[in-house]
Amino acid sequence: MPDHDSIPSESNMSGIKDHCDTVLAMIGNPNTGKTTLFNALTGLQVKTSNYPGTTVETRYARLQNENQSVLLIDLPGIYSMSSESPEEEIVIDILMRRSFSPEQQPLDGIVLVIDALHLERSLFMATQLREFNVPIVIALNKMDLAVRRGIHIDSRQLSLETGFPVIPISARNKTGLKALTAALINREMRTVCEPVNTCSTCTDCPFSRGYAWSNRVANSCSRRPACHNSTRSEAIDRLMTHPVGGWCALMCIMFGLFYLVFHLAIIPMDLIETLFGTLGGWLYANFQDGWLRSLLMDGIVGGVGGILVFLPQIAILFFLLALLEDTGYLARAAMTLDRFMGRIGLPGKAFVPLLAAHACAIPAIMSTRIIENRRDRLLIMLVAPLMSCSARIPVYTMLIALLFPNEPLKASFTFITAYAIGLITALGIAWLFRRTLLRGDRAPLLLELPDWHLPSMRTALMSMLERAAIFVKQAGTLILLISILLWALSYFPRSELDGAEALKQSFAGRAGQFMEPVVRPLGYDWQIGIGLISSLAAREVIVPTLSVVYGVGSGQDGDEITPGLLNTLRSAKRSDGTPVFTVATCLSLLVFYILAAQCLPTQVVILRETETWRWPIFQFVYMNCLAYVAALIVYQAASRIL
Amino acid sequence: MDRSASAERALAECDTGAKGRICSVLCGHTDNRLKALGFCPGHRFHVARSGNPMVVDICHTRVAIEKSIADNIRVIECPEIDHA
Repeated sequence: MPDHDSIPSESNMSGIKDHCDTVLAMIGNPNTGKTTLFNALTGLQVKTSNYPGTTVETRYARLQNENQSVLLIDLPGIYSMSSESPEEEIVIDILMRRSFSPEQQPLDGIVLVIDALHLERSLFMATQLREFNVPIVIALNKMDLAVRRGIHIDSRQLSLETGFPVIPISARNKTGLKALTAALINREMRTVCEPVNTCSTCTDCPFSRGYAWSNRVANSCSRRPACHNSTRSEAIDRLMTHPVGGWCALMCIMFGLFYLVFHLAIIPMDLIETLFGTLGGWLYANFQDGWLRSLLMDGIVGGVGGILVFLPQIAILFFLLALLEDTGYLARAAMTLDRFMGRIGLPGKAFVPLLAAHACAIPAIMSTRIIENRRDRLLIMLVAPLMSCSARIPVYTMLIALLFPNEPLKASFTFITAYAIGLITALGIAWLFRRTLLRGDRAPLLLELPDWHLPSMRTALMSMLERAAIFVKQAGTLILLISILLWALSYFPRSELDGAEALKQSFAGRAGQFMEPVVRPLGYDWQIGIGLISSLAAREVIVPTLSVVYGVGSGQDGDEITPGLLNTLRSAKRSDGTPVFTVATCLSLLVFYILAAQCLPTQVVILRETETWRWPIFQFVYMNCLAYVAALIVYQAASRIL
Repeated sequence: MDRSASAERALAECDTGAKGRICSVLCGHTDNRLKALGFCPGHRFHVARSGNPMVVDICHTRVAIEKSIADNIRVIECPEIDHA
């Protein structure tokens, strides 16, 4: 049974399938409500995994009654079977081989999800699927909306015309789902082998032929009123697709989104911090001083807690993005941004990962999956970590407090500038890479603008839970491993000394001293060098690290940016007696932290997505070189001017 | 052929509110995606917003399409037909 609780990979997929009598794949156009239907049928037991050897996501779940079970697989939405995108290739591959990977049971049938509002186009998929000789059942979705718009569809006639059983449903209102589940479990599907009737004029083009058939079928079994577009959606669209109105709406919605992400997350983030703080305190009280306590407290609880604290922001962001996508707005936003992004060489859709990167680069890189073109995706992955993620906030806060104590206006201006530097650099680097490294035209905009409708809370919640689960899983595996590794570097070799001296003697401390000549031109001393090394696990770690190296106290109470820490940093002196944290050093450090790649988990996620070491290493090198040069210029200029 | 060619124009040149039929699609690598979305010869269209990108209704679906693609879609305008 344990296989049911894990995310199925190529190897443990067979574990799930052993228990299933029937294996069915769900296929349909994008925006047909396929995901809503999948969620409504299967509930919370959905698993996601990449299709073996690709980065295309497929979702799995089991349907069951007393004596039968069905494995239902949600394949990505596609418009045709012309193998022009990785999604199309996967669907074709599965249908050709009739199975999901070589050693597994064959595919038993297809659930073709058809949109009652777009019957003609949805039926076009049926013409292409017929050629694969697979049993098919049609789920005729959005029947509630069709009725409301005065579209009448005779599902029995549709079944006669297509040859496949047709079950009218509404995934949103959960009507007809019982009948559909029964049909799936009892394998009520049909295979239709004969090719679609061809008209005499267009035999050369399979698309025209397919559309001629779907046109005829749609006309014979449906009646729609002369003007189908509701005036309300027309009015919304007139605003949202307007060159000026679209931008205004975009700005307002993005502002609202960011406000909610940062504002609603405050309480749960505090709770998580308190939880990990209490856990650390408990470990401190109940374990003897030694490597084990330090490993548990600083390595595991500190490392994983430091990343998990961003979970609320990520969850809220993905919940809101799913809501926006469900309304149909995201497609309009991508359209509005397409011309601007096009000048840089990015597709309009790229704004979703770039937006998500302001919370955390890891979910941002995962969300690049919505971009079809591989080069476009890679480009976005390379620049997304330049956006100011939440982990940079504690560092910005500390440095800005050092720079402008008691000057809130200058402080907030500097904060905004830091965000702007990240954004502008990311767009500039994207522009540069598009013209050098990843040359070629971006895919031109060709995007369906789905109908406007009220979003489903359930779909958004499910999408949020899925994203959150992936993030927690990574925090528990990858990020944990990196945290332990970096903890070991700053703990061993152990000496009898305390706090600052012990850290100085550790591998990280020695590396910090070794690289002092390299960081001195940036205005840093070896203590900051240690901070830079410890930041490789997560940037915000520099705050507790500095409090240890400058001897504020133990790591226990050094996590907070306390007046004590700021005073200690302000009074820290170099060997020649001058203060360490001058304005020039703070500015240089700020610029370094805006631009540097200091989050190894991000590189590991890119490795997983691209399946090569080349790009994560390239990103690590280019971002850190950029940060070094920029910090050097800032320090050298500032120390001469100021 | 010449007779119909004189009335043909690129979809990109159509104004907001224009209605008509698709004549031909010659877009190279985006060909199949366009056709799968319904941009097939003979299909009716309606321009919901001109410009770049433009918004076109086709096969009861609203599609945003960049000018560079719309340049290669030849259409014939016929205002009297019911829009797609």
